[in-house]
Amino acid sequence: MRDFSFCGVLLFVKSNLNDDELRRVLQTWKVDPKIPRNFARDVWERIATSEEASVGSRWWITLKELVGPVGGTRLALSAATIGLVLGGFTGAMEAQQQNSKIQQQLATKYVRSVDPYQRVSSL
Amino acid sequence: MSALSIRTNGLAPSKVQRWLLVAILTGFGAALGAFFVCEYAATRQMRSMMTASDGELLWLRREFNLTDAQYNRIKLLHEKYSAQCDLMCQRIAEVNARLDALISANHEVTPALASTINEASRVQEDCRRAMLGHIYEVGAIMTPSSGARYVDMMKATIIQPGLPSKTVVSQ
Repeated sequence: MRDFSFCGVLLFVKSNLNDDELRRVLQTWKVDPKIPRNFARDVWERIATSEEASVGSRWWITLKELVGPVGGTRLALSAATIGLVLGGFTGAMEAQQQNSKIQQQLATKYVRSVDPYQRVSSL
Repeated sequence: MSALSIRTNGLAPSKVQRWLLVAILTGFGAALGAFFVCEYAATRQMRSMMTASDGELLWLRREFNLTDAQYNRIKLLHEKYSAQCDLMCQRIAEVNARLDALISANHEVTPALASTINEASRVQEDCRRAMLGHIYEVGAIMTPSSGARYVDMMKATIIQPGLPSKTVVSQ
């Protein structure tokens, strides 16, 4: 509607005014913009909201990309496989440390069983 | 706008969340299970050795790759030596107690104190000789390389009897 009336004005201006008259009319044209109250705050709020939405959406896009093509079941299976490998590796490392500790204790026990001085001191 | 497009285009956020939760829980559970199974299975043998009465001999067998025949001979020797070792322990304890009492009772080196010191030295000498004899016997049963390694490991005990076992082993 506004565009339409604007076109009407344009047609009127073009058909009825020459350049000098148009310049005069334009010189008398005054714009008195009224900025609504809380304009700045509203703008900042809109900016903040759109930023939050874009951060959240990036997360969701990434997650969707992860889950979407693979599928939930496959994702769970992959996680289980990775978990098994990591858990197994960590368990083996821990066992190695424990075995080494036990070996040291057994070696100590053997030396004590052979050395009477150590037996006496442990009594 | 973009959030709206996600909701309308493809997998719903709640479904993604649910599958992620399932994946995390499954992965964590699998990791935990694998950790304990591996750790238990890999330490089972050593733990059973630790609780066995002759764990130290089982350790020797494993450490020096002894055959059954070698292990049985060493076990017999060890049992025989253990009885001898008990007697030596008794002698050491007796002479140490006497020495302790004499050192406290005197303020100078009396003939009795000197004689007890000599006796303590003799006891230590006997112990070292017996220990070294046993170590050589055990080493001779093993393969030459294992025997040499065994004697090398036990050397510190002969040079300095009563040295903490951990020091001996680490040497």
